[in-house]
Amino acid sequence: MSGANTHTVGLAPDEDAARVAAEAPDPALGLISWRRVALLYAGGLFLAALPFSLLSGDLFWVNLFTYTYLFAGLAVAWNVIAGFGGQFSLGHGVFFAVGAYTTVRLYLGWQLSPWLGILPGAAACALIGPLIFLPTFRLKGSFFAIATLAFNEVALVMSNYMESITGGPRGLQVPFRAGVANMIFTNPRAYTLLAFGFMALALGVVVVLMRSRLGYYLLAVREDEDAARAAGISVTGVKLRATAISAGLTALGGGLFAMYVRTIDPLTLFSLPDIGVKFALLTLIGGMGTITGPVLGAFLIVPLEGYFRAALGGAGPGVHLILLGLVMVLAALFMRRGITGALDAAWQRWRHARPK
Amino acid sequence: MSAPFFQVQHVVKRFGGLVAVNDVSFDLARGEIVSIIGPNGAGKTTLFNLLTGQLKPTDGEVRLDGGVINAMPPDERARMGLGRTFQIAKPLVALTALENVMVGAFLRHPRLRAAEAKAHAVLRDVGLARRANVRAAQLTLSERRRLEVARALALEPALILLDEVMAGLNASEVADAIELFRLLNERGLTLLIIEHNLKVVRAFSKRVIVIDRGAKIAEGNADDILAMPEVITAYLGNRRG
Repeated sequence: MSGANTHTVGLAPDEDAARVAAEAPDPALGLISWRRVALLYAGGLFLAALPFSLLSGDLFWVNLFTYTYLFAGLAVAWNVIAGFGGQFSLGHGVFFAVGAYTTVRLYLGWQLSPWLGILPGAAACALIGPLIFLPTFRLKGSFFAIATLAFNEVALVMSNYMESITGGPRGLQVPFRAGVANMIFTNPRAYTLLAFGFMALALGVVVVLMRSRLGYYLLAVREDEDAARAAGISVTGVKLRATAISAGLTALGGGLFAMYVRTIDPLTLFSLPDIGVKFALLTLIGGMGTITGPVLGAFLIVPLEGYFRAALGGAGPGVHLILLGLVMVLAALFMRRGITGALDAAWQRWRHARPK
Repeated sequence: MSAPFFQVQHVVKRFGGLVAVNDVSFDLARGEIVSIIGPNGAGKTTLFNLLTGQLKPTDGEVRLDGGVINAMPPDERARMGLGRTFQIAKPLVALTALENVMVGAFLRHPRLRAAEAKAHAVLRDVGLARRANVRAAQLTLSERRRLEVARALALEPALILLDEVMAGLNASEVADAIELFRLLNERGLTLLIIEHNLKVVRAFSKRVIVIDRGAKIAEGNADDILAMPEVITAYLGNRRG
């Protein structure tokens, strides 16, 4: 991460100044007034809601947008610890599944409304998630990723065996009993709104976080742990607190997912391509460690994936996946810093190409 | 009489069979400026890391306000008022200069605006005010050194440990740095400095500690120490002084 900067050291002053002018970042989130942040937040949500409001007549798109908003929120949650904190977790499927199982189990077993039942799972993940991750925080980079991936696989095996809670391999089914208290709706657009609300919540949490001391500390830990310690930062403490936020939000998303699909089983919840690794994928394509990146990644990939599946699913097994893979390869080749990085570069070029 | 502010007592650090620091002792009083000099590989940076908590001593004691802090981790030492720079500057490259310093300022100023104000003030002190919104990745070597000092100063430390912060700076930058450290010292900051530049050492530290092959070979007034034949021999390898 620090290797990319060595080339700037010996630049002549003029050259340096020109370069800085070209790459000068806009003021960081923390330096913008609350008023402007609120305005940007509201404007961003408006833009995110726009495509749905235009296509809400078509149930195919309603379903796709529900997934898009839901996974945008989940990617935003993952990005807290992975993008801002530099801890590339592939174990977030566990938090997602705990949220899903808790919500459904409490609803089926105790008739607890999912509106409330979604909370204990989130709270449990916020408290226990950091403890699960604690032993792996000593690991760096891909070693951390592999260790957290192992959590996902262990949890998959366990959920297959713990039939009394998870229903085993057959999973759990929520009977269709429509009602606001049951979080079951006949109009599928209600779920889209719910997913949108979740995304808005996740974004709101991240905006507040990145304007706080913890947000700055998280960036410092990602950039250089020794430097962070020298600044009085408890590196492990910061990672634990960020994991709590990230895991709690992920569990909320898992609960909503469960109530939307109303049938959950281990292979769905712990699926790497559809859940655990997908959070990472969307964020990588959108832009790691940025506020809008995970959302943009979800907006590109989720509808595209759904569209390809519908349009090409009949053409042959896996054709839609081949095409999706191609999109991802292109994104990796031409947008090294994700969609946000590419947009930023284009904006800078345009700004400096304008005649003065 | 109360215990000295900072004490190093018979500190030893072994790496396997290699004794990197061998029975070094010295005290620091509040408000002092002390330099540690010695040839390359003498063990200065290892000694430094024992003081900052990066390493734990094999033997001996490091005391702050009388209490043993041998096992205290670096972040806790920073919270206790111990600031440090790294010999190879560690800028947080994705962050702007201002954000780098804010990371330090948050320790005493938990609120965003207060940390920002503190960071601006420190950047002005080190002469980086103009570069506040530039990413650290784009700073020159000497600017990175100053940023490193700024982040440590933003902690509002009682004692700051500076590891060769003057290396690679030109004469006017060195003069600026000396001026800054003098000013901070007048405001009550204690400084412990590893320095190669003997002119710098002579210019502002009253007391000098000489380390050679892991052991303290001399300690005393800067002018006397720099004139001692054994110091010159250890430092320069032959008699050219």
